[in-house]
Amino acid sequence: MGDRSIRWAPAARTCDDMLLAGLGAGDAQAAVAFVRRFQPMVFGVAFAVVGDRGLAEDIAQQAFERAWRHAGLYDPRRGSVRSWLTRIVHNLAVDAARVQRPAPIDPEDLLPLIAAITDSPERRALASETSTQLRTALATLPPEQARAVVMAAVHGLTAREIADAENVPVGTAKSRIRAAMTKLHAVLPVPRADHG
Amino acid sequence: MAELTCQQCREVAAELALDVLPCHERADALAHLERCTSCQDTVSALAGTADRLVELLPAAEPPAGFEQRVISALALPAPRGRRRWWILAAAGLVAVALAGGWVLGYSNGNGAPAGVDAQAGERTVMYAPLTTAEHQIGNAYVYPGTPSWIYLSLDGGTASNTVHCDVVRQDGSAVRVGTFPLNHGHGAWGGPAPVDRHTLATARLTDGRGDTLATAHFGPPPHKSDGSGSHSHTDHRHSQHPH
Repeated sequence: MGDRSIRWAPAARTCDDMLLAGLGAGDAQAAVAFVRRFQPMVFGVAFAVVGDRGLAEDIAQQAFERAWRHAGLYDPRRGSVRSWLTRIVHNLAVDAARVQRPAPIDPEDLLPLIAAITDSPERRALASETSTQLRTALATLPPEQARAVVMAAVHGLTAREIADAENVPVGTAKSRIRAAMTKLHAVLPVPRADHG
Repeated sequence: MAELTCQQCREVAAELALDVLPCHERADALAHLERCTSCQDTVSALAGTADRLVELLPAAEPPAGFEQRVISALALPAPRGRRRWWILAAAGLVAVALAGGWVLGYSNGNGAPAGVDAQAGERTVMYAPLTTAEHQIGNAYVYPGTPSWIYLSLDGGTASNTVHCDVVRQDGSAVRVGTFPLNHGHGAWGGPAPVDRHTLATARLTDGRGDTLATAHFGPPPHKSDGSGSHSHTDHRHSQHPH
């Protein structure tokens, strides 16, 4: 790195890092700020996966506890604090859903969620270009592929579970997941190499 | 166990990236990935797409009282409420970012200490560039409140090794506060650190042999009473990671 080629992270990103460091250090005020900043995202992810506010609240609380205990493991090179926390709460929610799911997901029940993901004006106003491209790509997938990829990516359903829900062969479910992921991946920019 | 071809592996790459592949298929795919960097890259890229997809999920307001329940569960000291340090920290960082870390860090140059308080006051975040003998390789932030902590980020150099962070006081004494890995010169770490803005001199990064890699100067240089310069006595009793 040259003397004057310092690359400052955006202020908001830097503050997320610092709040996490403060949380990990046991600073109560940092913890309050961290929870206040991320609770809508954390609860939203949990609720989208499990569909129950009480269970989602328990999962969201576990996610913050895990973030507190493992703050020192956060590596900014692997993504933002928001992405790191999203993975934590999503993994917890999928694990909980796999244990507690009372019945197979009705594909029709996915339509509001897919609509919320793909058509959310207030989120679009703040969204990055990448997010917008991904939303658009998801919205333009054939409906059966969009359902398949949301069932797998959001709810953690296997191809067999998706096949059962959709009443199609397992091979068809696998093909839909693969086709959808290929199309979604194609719209994302190629990550920049870290080193020249 | 059947040995997958690249074609077979790529047929299940999406499910593997989404973490929905059944156990037996997953084992076969992972065995293939151990030997095939090309398929590793494919799965890694698809996993990134899966992460982005989850990040699109809509936010939702949690039930009333959620924030307080979380804070209670963390069993942290009650917030004092008098000083909202994160606001000051944010304001300070914005000031640093707007002015440019380089300008603020060195505007009082000519050998003067380069440490810069993000804002005046007892409990605001302090900033200093992490520099080698030649140039800056990262940034250091110190919060001298209660509890006090330090956060380092490095974005330069090429080393991949384990480094140690010592806090050095103006009397020359040092305390080891953390150890973390560098990967091709990149790395970050934050954790508790016994820092006092009135006695703090530097934050020092050393390698496994004790050689100084970089230093962030927050105050007057430490006294060299033992003549050892950067190899001042380090107290290793402090903990490493905040978890």
